[in-house]
Amino acid sequence: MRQVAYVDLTNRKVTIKPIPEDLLRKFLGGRGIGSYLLYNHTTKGIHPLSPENPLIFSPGLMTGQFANAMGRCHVNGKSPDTGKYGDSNIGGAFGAELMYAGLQALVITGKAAKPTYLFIDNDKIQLRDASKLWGKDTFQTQLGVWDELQDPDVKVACIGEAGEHQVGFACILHQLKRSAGRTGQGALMGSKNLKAVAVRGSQSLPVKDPQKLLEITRRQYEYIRRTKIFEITKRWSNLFAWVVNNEREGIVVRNHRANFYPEGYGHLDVDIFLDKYSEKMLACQQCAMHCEHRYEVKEGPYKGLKGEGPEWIAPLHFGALVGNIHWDVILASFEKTNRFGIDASTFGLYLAWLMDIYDRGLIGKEQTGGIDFNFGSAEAMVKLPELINKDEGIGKVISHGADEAIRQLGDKTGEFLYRCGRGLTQEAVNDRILRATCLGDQTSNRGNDHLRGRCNLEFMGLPAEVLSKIIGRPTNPDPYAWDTKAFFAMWQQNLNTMSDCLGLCKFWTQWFAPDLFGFEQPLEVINAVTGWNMTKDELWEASERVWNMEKMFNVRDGEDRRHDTPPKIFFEPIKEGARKGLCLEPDKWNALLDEYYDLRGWDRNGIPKPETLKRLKLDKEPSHII
Amino acid sequence: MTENEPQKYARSKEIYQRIRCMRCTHRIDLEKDQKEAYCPACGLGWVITWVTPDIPMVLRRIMPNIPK
Repeated sequence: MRQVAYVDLTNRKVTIKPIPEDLLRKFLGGRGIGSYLLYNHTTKGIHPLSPENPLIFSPGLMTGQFANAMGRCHVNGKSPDTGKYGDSNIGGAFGAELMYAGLQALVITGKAAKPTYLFIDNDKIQLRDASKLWGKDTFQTQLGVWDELQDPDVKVACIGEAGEHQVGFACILHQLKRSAGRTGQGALMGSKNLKAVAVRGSQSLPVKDPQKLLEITRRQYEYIRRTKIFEITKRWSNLFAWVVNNEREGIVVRNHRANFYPEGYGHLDVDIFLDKYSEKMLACQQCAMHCEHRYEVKEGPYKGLKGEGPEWIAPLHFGALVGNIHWDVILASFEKTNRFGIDASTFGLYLAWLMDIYDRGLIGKEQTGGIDFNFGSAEAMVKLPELINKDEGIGKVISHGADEAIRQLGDKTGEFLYRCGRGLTQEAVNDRILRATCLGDQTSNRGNDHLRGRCNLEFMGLPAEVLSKIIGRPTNPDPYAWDTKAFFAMWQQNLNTMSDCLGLCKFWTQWFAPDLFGFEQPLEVINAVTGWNMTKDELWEASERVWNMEKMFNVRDGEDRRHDTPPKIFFEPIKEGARKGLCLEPDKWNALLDEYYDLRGWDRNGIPKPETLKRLKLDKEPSHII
Repeated sequence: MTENEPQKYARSKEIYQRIRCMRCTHRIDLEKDQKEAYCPACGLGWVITWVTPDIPMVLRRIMPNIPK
């Protein structure tokens, strides 16, 4: 029987309860059970930094099993960054260790009287003093926990000083770069005076049909390792996405001043990173793909710097977006954000905004504390993480919400900070040129989100027959066409929801490449492990249920159609380049949104209809079963 | 893995030593170790790197004047 542990930090009380199997079958694990618990353990309008807002860790349903790429863990909590539904997903080995400790979910509420860390040692959960760890960065914190527990095999997820200061985009970090980044879950953890969660588990996971699972896992591995994407990813990681998106003019350069970055040629090329910095490739638990670089800077001002990553976000958010062309500066800044527990993605977006308004003369050195914030400034890139970490100067200005930053720097500056309808800073992708991708991203429950709704297959130039067979309905492969894109976006969102619920890495799914996993392959694993004989339709419905559960959380707080609106700039035509003139047209966008709402079973205001909730067995929520 | 129909189809169409034009998505066949290629559909040129002896990747586009 899988279990959920409730930890009340205020009263230092721990309760462990079993999770009924039918509830797991309805919501699966990970993001599903996390969103269920979040909805059930919060009330309308709860403040994100209040002790009552729970911080929930939930490994995927299959996390830790002997199955390919099933190693991920979800983190849920109302977002301190947006004030809406918040979640994030974390790789590494933390989720699997929670499962080996017997926990399918960990719900942390309350606020500790003094800095505390949790130590979960199988069935025993201890609240331990973290006074010595408070004020330390994420790397030192993990070392400190290992030192105190005398066990380097303990898996730790922790916050840095940014989380302690409740920076709106603080992340929870595990190992050197595995982070629950977007939506500011690190700030929520900091608000609870909780420095770290350390886990040691040694229990085995029950498997209904071990022989079958072994056979499925071997078969799936043999298949995947023969795909092109596997070969590419294990050498390049997802840095190829940087090349692809730049070359198709689908990125954001210097805070929306351009969408293509030839200035990076000869500097930010992937082969330069591979030759000069990458040392070896690493993987998360249960994964054969090895998509993460370990790097070292061997010369120059940052000589000796070591770290892990970077993914494609690094050359994008620390390169093109801020006008920088130096890999070593990217790595130095990227390493600092990880070390201090700052979400690298959001950091890059705020940095680009500051550089933009500095360039426009809306702020000057008096606001930046004398730091040069011109585009490409290495000084700004390396110093800003430190200022955020210390909650000082311009770092403090941007740390506590976009509205507060705009209030301090002037209303005019707000015109250049691009946010989606849910208030999350807009990722540096030029979504206005892709229809399904834009719809999928903008209707994501936590805010614009490539990990929830980005339809990568949309711009791969797949023949219509191939794309239609994958999606399961006739689908127009033209990325600029408006027809058939609502179902495409919904299919992608459901596929990604399923991955997050099971703990499956999206790099193994058809989110990443057309010949990878769809719904069928994870389903084989579920049935071998649980013996449920689940069908594909049931898995699809479970994904849909989870999506609607998240939506209900936002609707309860007053969300409607307005929150599915992209930033204003997406309705303005692109000024130059191959995609010149392209933009979202309001009429067509609204028609697409209507079509999407119809498919989802929502009304024209984006609210799930009663019959939809009934069909998905959500009409009795909150049900408070656990 | 039990390949479903779309996956089988996608795999059957997968051809090594080939890239996709990043501008127009047209497929471009390559000779082994070819370093540059031009898209027959849109004319844009690409610098190629080889991830494995069989798998080419686009590194960047060919530009006469790279901005410094």
